[in-house]
Amino acid sequence: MKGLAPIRPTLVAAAAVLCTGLMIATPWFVPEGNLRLMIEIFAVFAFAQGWNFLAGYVGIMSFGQQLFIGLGAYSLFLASNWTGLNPFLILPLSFVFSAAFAAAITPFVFRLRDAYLAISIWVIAEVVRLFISQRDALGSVSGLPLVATREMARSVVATSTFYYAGALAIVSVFGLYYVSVSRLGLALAAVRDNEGTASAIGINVWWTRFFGFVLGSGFTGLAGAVYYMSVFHVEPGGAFDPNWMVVMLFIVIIGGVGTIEGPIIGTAVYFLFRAWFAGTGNLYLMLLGAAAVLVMLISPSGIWGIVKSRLGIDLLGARRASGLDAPTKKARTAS
Amino acid sequence: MSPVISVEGLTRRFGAITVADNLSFAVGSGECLGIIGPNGAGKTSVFNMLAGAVRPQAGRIVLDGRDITDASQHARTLMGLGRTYQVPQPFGLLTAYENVLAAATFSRRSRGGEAEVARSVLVRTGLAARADVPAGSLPLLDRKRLELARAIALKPRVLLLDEIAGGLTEAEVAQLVALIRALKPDLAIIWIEHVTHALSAVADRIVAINFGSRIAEGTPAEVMAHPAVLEVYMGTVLDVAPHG
Repeated sequence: MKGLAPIRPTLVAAAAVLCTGLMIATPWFVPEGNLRLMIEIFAVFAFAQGWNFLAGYVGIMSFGQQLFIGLGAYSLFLASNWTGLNPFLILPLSFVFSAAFAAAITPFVFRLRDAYLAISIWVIAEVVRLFISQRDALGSVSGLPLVATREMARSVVATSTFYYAGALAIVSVFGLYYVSVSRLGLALAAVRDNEGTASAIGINVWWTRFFGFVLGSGFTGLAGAVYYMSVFHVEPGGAFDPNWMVVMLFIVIIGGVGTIEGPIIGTAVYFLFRAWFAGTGNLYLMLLGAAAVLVMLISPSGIWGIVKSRLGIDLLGARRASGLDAPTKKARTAS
Repeated sequence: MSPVISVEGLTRRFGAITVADNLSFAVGSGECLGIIGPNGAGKTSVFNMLAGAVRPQAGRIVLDGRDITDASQHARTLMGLGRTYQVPQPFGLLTAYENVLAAATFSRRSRGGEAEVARSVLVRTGLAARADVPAGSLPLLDRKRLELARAIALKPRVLLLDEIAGGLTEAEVAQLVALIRALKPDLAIIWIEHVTHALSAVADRIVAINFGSRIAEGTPAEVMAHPAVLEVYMGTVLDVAPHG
């Protein structure tokens, strides 16, 4: 793939334009029922990429990202129900609210490291779930409907939600790519790999991690809002369900953490498993677990890790080529 | 000429262990100060305090006339301090080139030319052939080279070198000495090294420390012949001035 390096930015940009075009055209030739499934797939994919961004690009392991799925959904539902505003117009608010919440908890959770940090966010998710469950104004345990969408035409709601979900998926692939190859991406990678050395080369480690955490969590919140908008109802037990975390972990680990391609594969595997085995009850969960264990044993870097190392294919990796390798290769073949 | 970096009364204890006891020294531009001392003497701890990874309990560190004793690590780097680690600390998943590129990118506020800086530094440090190999899978010697490459790419005013010659062959030591000599005119260098002939070839002055205290200071020849240094290294019992 090194031969592709100089033209890769063009290819990636072309692929982004193509995917956006396809996304725009999809509602015209895909029935509404299938659109709903695609919305779900895209939203779950966005959850997974949000976690992958934190774990594989920022170096923050959180086991509580369901917190932001729930916060994103609740902030949208409450804002729309209270003000009567069109939820499609105020959707970015769920990003802002989730990001702000993430920013507010960083002074506390960043005092903790590794497993303690991971669990602390999970604990906060449970606290928020219990808080909402006990407040009638917030819908209590039975949750909230999205009132504004009742008067809208079903097809308009489905198409609009689909566009948001499609945008999430495109940002999950190409947005992540452009972040990872940027100056910010280099700073994040340095901090992820070695915080001490990152400080020693002039990177403000705390603010870099802060920015990564806020960005990733805000995105998860936005995806949570889109997901729950498509089902018109949110309740605390579902929105703050730790099982969301299990799904994100499964998709990212089976596909390959720290890669863009991995979670695409992971999401496909997850939904195929669900389509084939969801009727088998507990066996389905055991199969998911077995598949995850199997992949981890064979390749800790996931399915995409195998593809990358065996076939040497790297489509959307953030590798910066030095441009120094060409003369050396020539020298090696000459000698 | 005023020194680029000076240290006054630097003191740090970890429990009963004293790693710096009222240490003072100053290094000017174009000058190289060597630091020697037995293992555990406190050499690397002095570097950790200079670089901002460890806070001194007493004393002052002044860089270019500014007191940086309380400045953060990354702020010191932006002010012109560059260091290597004795045990290599690369960005393991990034390539050698990306490691150096990151150093060239984040160590200064102005933009542009980072890629050229990174390439030329890799060539100078003999890493050009390994430029696109992930740093985590480089052999130890290349990772030590990468420490130096990353520090040079910072374009520092003060370069802290921590045992970069250990493990090199004689020919490689000669190359390293030539490289550091070439860098020296624009820099204040503080170099901790056990390979004393490499250090003597570059250092203008050497400070010998033990238990965090200075036991000798002078030209390389003076320090190597100093009775206190001989006692610490060779175990020779001589009638010397008390040290603490």
